Amino acid sequence: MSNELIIGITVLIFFLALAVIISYYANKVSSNTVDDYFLAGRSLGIVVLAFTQMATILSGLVFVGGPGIVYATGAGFFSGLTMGTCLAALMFYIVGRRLWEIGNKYRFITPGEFFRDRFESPGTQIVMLIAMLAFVIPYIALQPIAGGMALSGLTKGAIPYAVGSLIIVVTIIVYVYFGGLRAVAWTDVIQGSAMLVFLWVLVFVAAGQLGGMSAASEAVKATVPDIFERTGPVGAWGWKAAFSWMCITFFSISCQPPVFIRFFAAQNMKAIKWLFVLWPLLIVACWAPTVFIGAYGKILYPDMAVPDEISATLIIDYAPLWLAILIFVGLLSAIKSTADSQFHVLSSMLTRDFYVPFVNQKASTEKQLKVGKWFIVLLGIAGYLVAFKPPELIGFFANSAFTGIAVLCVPTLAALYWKRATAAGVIWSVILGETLALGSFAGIFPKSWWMGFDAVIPALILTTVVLVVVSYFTKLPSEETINKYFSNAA
Amino acid sequence: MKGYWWFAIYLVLILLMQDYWVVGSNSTLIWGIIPAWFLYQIILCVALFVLNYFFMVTFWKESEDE
Repeated sequence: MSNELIIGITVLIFFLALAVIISYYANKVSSNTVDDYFLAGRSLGIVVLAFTQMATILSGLVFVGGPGIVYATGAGFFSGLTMGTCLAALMFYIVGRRLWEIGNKYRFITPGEFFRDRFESPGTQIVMLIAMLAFVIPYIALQPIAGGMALSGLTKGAIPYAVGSLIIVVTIIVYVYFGGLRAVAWTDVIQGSAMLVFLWVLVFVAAGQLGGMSAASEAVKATVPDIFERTGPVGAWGWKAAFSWMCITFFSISCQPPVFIRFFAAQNMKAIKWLFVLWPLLIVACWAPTVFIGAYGKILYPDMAVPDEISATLIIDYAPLWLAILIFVGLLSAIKSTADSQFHVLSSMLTRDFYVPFVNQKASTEKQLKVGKWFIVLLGIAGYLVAFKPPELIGFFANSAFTGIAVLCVPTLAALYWKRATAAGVIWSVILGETLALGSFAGIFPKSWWMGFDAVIPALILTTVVLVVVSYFTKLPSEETINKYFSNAA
Repeated sequence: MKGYWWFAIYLVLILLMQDYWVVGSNSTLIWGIIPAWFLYQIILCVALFVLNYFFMVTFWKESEDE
């Protein structure tokens, strides 16, 4: 074994161990309360909140799926998706600010708890739980898929896909189990930074093979000009597609369960404010390199059978081993930072929205923590099993999850800003909106019905109409509850 | 500045992001590196960052901080 390889493996082991060490310290400073384990004691400051939100949203998709999509469909991928993700900052003002105020005042931990209290309805809590579980559980499999593919690619199959996925899942379970959200958020600062830096390093590695960025871009323009056209070589990124992606990301990000609960976990409003300001810069800094990686990869490997493997192939073939392993650390960071948040938030919701209200209402703090930790283990196993048979383009696999979550934005906005909203309105709007979204993905409702737009547009319209109509014909929550949320003091 | 002015400014920015018909589809390479439409979109994202900063310091109340 060469010295270079030994150093590389040492770096990888150190990186994996670092998360466990951070988790150990997080556990040490923790006060072993439910608030502390699930919400980091509501202590996330400006830097930690900004990086943990970014690292949570920008998953293995930026390293694996993103360049793969650019390779296959062109740089127009950046257009709608990045614009919508940047604009999601506005939702941090509209939704995040109010959630922080309310969550801090009434000590909510999960989205379901907020809905249950706001509408005096356990039904709203269970509907939100089911909707979020349905769309997040498939998504947690994406990260082990990306990790397994990357590890397998980096080692040229020496570590099989199944073993690579397992390593990712086990590492995450260990540090989330012991450190809760505090460990997740602290590791996200390191992982988010590594992801950002090494994405750009990979761009320069690929450009270096083509004589620098200018020569590489000129080569793309001369050889495969469609990749740099906004609509792309297969016309995938026309105005309607880009607008749809903008809506999907804009409406879904604040309602992604890990993002939602981080609004409760912010230390103060100043942290939310700076998240609102810094977000567009962080997003652009991470998404822009995916375009160059995919485009330059198209020149270096014109005929890749699996576009998602472009980043791993570039790393293996063109970076010296020590650098390849460092870039791989960045890739692993992108994957782990999303997966840990998904495992953590699902465990929080299953504990607080299912176990406590419906199984054991008198559960002690110790019992809740124990159950929450066991859910992390079970979810890890579930995520691994789903990841076992990966789809080709994982970017598109995420599509149904984001569309489904975007639907939940409508009842969230109504809960925060519309006094007339009722529990029945929320429940029926979610059921019918999600039925339409899922039906479209299943092919029950033909895509031609939506006139070139994604199903998210009709799903959002239907959800809004149902919520308004049903709310006007059903019973309001008590005046006391409405005053609680809509008086100046709320 | 009143809230509706902020709303109008953000709306203009969102409309500019939809541009496929004026500058938003020009793929001429700028500095030999980046397609013009891509740079245009990055500039809009940076503009959003600047706008958010001024929104925070002028419109979002300091009293909400703690």
